Amino acid sequence: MKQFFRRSATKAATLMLASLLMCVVVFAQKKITGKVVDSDGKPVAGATVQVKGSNVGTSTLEDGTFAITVPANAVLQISATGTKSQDVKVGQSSALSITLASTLSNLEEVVVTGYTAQRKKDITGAVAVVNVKDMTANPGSNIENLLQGRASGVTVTSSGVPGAGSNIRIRGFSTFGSNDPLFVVDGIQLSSVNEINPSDIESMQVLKDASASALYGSAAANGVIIITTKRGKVGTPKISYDAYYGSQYFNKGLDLLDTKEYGDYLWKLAKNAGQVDAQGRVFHGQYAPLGSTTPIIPEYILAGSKSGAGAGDPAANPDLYKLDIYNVNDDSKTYLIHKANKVGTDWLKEISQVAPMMNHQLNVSGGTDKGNYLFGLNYFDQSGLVIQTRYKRYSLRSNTNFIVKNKVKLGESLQINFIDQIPGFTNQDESNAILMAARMQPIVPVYDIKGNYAGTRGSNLGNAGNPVADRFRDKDKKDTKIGVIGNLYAEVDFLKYLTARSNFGIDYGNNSSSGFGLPRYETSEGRGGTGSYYDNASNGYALTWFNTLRFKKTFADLHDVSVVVGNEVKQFRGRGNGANSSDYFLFDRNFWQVSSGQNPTPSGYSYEYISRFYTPLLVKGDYTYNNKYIFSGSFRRDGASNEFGPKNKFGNFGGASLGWRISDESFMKSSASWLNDLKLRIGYGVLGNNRIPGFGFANLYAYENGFTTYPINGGNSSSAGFAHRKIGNPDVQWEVAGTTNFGIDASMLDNKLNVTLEVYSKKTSKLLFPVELDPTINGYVDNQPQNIGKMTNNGIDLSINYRGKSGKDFSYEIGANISAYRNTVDAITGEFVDGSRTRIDPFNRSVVGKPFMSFYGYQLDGFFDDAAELAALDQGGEFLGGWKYKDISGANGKPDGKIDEKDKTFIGNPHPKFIAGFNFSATYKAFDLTAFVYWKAGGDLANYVRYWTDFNTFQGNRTKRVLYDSWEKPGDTKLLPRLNAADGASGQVPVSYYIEPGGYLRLKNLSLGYNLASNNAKKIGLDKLRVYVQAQNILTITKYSGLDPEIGNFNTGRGDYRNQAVDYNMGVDAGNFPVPRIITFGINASF
Amino acid sequence: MLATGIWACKKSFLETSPYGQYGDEQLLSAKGIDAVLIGAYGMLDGESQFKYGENWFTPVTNWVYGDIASDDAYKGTDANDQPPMTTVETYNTIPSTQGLYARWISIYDGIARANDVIKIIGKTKTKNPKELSAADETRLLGEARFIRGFQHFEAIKMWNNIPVITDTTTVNPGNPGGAAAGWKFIEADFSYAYANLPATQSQLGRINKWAAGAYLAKAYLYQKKFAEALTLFNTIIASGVTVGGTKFALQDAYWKNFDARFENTSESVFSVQMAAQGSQEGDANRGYGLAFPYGGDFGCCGFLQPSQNLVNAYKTSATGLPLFGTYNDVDVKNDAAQASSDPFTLGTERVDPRLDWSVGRRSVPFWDWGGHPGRNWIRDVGYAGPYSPKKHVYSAADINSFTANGWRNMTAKNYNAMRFADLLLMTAECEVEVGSLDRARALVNQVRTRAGAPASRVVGSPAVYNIANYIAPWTDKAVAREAVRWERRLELAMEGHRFFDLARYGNGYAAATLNAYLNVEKNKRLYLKSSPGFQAKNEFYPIPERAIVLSKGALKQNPGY
Repeated sequence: MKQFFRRSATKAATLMLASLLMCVVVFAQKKITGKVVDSDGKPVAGATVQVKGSNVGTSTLEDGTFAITVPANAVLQISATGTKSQDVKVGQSSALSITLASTLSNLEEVVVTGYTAQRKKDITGAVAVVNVKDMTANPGSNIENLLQGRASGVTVTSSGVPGAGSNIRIRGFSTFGSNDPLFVVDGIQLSSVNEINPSDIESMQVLKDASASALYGSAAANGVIIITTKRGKVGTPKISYDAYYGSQYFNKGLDLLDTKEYGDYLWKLAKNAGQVDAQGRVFHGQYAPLGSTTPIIPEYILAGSKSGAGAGDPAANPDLYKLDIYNVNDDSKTYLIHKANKVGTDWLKEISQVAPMMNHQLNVSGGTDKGNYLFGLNYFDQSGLVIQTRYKRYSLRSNTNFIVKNKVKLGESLQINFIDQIPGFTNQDESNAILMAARMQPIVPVYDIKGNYAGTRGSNLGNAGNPVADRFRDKDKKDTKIGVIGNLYAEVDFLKYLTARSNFGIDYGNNSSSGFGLPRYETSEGRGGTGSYYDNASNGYALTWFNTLRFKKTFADLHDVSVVVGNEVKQFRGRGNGANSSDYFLFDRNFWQVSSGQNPTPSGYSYEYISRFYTPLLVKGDYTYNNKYIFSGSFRRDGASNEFGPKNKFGNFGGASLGWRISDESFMKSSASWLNDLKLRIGYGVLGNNRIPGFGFANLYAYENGFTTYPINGGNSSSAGFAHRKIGNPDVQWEVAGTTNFGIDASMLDNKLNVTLEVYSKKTSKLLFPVELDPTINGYVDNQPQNIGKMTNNGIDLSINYRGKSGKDFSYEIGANISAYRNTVDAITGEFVDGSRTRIDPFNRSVVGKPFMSFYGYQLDGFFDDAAELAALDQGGEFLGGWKYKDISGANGKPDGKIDEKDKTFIGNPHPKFIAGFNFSATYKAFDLTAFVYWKAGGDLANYVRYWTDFNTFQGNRTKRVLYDSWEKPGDTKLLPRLNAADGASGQVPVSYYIEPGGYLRLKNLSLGYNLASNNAKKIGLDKLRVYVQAQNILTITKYSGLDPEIGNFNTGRGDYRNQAVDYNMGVDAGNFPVPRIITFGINASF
Repeated sequence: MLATGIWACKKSFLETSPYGQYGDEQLLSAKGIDAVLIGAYGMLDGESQFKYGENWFTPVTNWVYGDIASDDAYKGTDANDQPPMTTVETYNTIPSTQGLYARWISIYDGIARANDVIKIIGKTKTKNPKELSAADETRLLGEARFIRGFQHFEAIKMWNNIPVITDTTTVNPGNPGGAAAGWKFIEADFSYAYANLPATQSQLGRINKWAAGAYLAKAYLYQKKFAEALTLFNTIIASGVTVGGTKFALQDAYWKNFDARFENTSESVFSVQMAAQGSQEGDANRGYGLAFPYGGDFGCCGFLQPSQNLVNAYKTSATGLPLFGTYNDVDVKNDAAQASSDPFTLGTERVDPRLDWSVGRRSVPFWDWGGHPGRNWIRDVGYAGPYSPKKHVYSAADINSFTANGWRNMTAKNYNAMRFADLLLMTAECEVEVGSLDRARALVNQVRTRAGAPASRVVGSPAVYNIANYIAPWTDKAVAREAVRWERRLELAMEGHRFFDLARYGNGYAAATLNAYLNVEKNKRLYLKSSPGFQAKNEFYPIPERAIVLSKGALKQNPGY
């Protein structure tokens, strides 16, 4: 590899030099100067001045002036944001004065669409340009979260975990594998933009269809998000400072039982099951250790080894209290006393906090026509709603460009990050603090009689960990990351119409995590220990190097032609290592290192990985005739090292599109003066998906300590062995996603009203799926990738934007974007594909004719009301007052009085009917107001949290509905089955009770700002000063009973279902960190 | 022009291989085959990577399916801790009950690993013919086939109608042949191993000829082929040696079978090897992790508490024999009503000394931890009674040398899958059915003699021990049969065998025994009132629903579920 790069680098340099030499060609040239002003006569800084049909150009200085050397008969095209572009013939004059008319149209805006940039009006694929200014006005740790509702066709789901990313899905789901889009930041492909500072973003485009994103070939099937970071503008150095400070709040809680209610629940449970003695007494370790017909709330839930002790019990004498953290299981050294919380601990409240978040951004920027610069410094700090969760990011940005003799451009962009966060909160995980809060009984207090933590150590308190204690024990654990995302390019213009570009990018990350495991002393399980410490480090990088050659020329003022050819190579490489030890003599901070552990054999590990992609050819051609007829076509050939076997390494991808600007036809020009621009587009393309688990083609064996090892010598030591881990599928090959897109862009009413409508159909075939192999014949192996199916997404994206002005002082903008897709699985090898298992069988299943990963399980069909009904249906685990499942089918396809697999059916659809974002912004004099509403209509959720709170599952707390809405007598139409201590069946399989409507409408953002008039601002030495207040997520309308209907797809992380993509659990709420309500104050200042 | 073709990209640029994993071809050697074989041995303990708590259902020790499901033990701890175990305990098991699928995967993963060994041997012979000597080949094949047979045996005990998976299986064959096909296959694997394995091996963890023979005989016994079983058992008793070459014999003291210092000695017919010391815990006996006393050094979690019925079963008459009809009329005195700080005097009932190695009870020295403190070690005495398990629990002296130093419940104690006492009692069973009642009695007495030896008693125990041999000849087959079965329960209590023994005795023996047990026990353990009782279908567990789903319908559910 090393050798490869060295040799190639030499070759590239030689060729680059040769091309420079070839540029020494002389034309008839003329030097022109000029000044650009706007309609008010003010100079326009940074306007683009370009020789039409070529790549020669410059930009205006702060006073609006420019100087350029051009061919004698050249036409200059002058454009600036918010103005109509203007063509000026050079003619005889050598000093030009140009006035640009302002416009509301942004069609002249040049947007980056991959390896090239295009005027918005020339785009023929489905490209959504995001209003970055509106988007980044919201507080948020990363752009992924902020993108929600900002572009049609893009579905974003986030959680409240500080610093966490989001699920972004563009136009539904095109694969069983990763549906994450590709991000391209300053030309470099990234798989995540979690660490990119949102304040650094200048522009953002979403390429949604195959014709638009074909140039990214195998990486683009899920759509591409193109991001360009800010650069300095021509002018004197400018310093700006933006900051906000906010507080985050919980939106709602879980409706759980209090201490008394929990006792009532227990008694009902036991009595209904007949678990009483001859005197009708129920026995319970806390509420009645000696039996009682009614629950008795004890005074102490733990007094030494005694549970359920009454007031004045000698065992609860505080003098007996002892806690020796080094000997928590030794009765002679540790004696704990936990007083019952007779009212009830609100655990969710105990683990939550009003959490601060803040952001500070300092920028210095400026430039001349020979170069520009921007330096930024950012500090972002977000604490989570859950105590002891925190994410801090420091980032530094440096973007510079240099122009040498108008021919050679060199530049770089660089971001360096330092991220520092507290680990220990895993979203959507059964052992996170949120689920532990639901799993702790209300009778357990947070602290014991001496102020140490209390917990479940007494009997019948379950096995949850005190989440407050656990969060505090985690608070000194550290996860840090240093990240560098950098990009260096050189661009050379030569032979007038040609531009060569070479771009080298690196995305480097260095992670380290360490923490000391302090023993728990208050819990029933996982108690004690000798202290443990881990220290892990990993680093990895992705290198991308691409070279392009661009040809651009306008022939006869009618034919615009541009062609790009290029190639690209990428390499991912990384390694990690770590060590841990135990047996700490002291747990003090200054012994928190591996070497201080007295464990004679501390353990360590290291690993490495590598993967490569090679693109021998990429081509894109664009042709426009007289601005009316537009054609665009792309092709890319991609090879991947790890994903496919020798037969299938390479794949070919491409797309083409046509555009017709009807508004420029003479018949339209005359008849529809209200219409400023109307363009019809049609495109088709074929893309691939390269984000699939590697080496699915190979049979592999692995060593795993404890699982593939055995003490074969018969003594007290192990010998290593291997066991199958993967059963290969040598035929595994590229997925193919074909998209047809039809679009209309219209600008009307003086460009005030802009409408874009897209209709698309995306068909993926040879779908790759990591198939869960039959363990009976294969044993325990990774899922095997197989090309097993076909899937279609049909959809509509609509965006409407209206900009209005009323009088001199009031202007406003209303925008809406609405998207809907319908997903259908068209073909699957085998009958079905299941999602991942939680503690119960998977909720999600894909079959032909149904949407991807629909919810599947038993349909409730009332209750067993009497003995006759019990006799009539053989369900397994049935009881009087229990749930009846619908008898749908049997061995001969008809209901057979027996409930089994054949009676499972589709009980919900996690895909939304449509999603919409509504944006409103207005300015009146110095005030500005923005509001943003997000609406997800339809789309069911599977509320798996109910497994813990609504059924006979472990000894956690229960929801109020369990106590008050359970079956009591025949004919009851209650929600839940009869309380029954012997019920081992209810809720233990996916059943329609788990499925809830998941639609919601949310006021995401409401913001009010005030601009100090620039005169006032100048008095205090500032150019501009704006202050604002913002409220986020303050209103949510939903029928969903869980903490938050915004459920990101997640990976259960179950070791036994490795390599599963997150979408396999689509719509399953397994303990999600809710999105917070946030109130923020901020300022924007520049000087 | 400029950019294209810059990279005269070598073909190898896109050829990578994963770090740390091995392809088939890298293992086609004697060394490679042995590594895969060790991987297959590694699944004998049943501890799979299946997560989410369900791995407590998978260990080969069968403490859930063999002990809790029988009359020997309660689930233990407190209510609603691992509810699926209560489901098993109360015979409410249904095809989706958690833990069943985990056990299924652990067994069939073990089978797949054994089949891999056989496949790799075949590939090696084709590709590197000189790599293996004929002797090596048959030995390796013998070990692999024993493991495959052993895992099928575990499956057939659980499910009866099992699919047979061979090294040539590529499509799930389902279970159309039922148990008959399963037994035929198991016999074939054990027979091959018995015929081809050496009597001794240099590494004590490996299987030898005699262990394979003993399992073949056990398979005959399960099928009630008593004559064939008896012949083979007798050969083994006469000539059998351990892997290390020691002639099979009972150890001098009963407790040595449960002490890591005396492993792989004369009584070990076949032991699943465990290792743990310091930070080395990968091959610990982790399956028992939850099944330790709730208090004291153990801390977690109080599962697997011996039943009052089991304790009562150890009561003996004045002549030192079991109280067959009356043992359960009066309970052996216990401290259920006393806190650890309350005074308690142990009862003066005469008991079999094996009681106090099988059960931890108040005042009796518990290994070297001093007297069992009673309630301090019990999570919820009202729920699951006053007793603790003992055989697999570590002693203070074991700490760090035979336990992990993180979570000490991970010990180095081997699992005695078959010890010589077990083999003698199986032989006695065969003698009762097709041989001599006197020989049966002699075999039982051989086991009792050792149990009664002074070395077999708990030192310093305040209990009154009284055990003697059956002096009077057995004249009635039914009496003899019951005496042998009783002896088996006492000798092997809490070792994972009881439920499967009850089920295999047949003729409704399990239903009669377990329903009688439930009728008495449910007034002591109120939650047992929710048991629908033991029905014939409960002799085998339901085939896990998920396994049926993934077999695409090839597997058929067991009758009654």
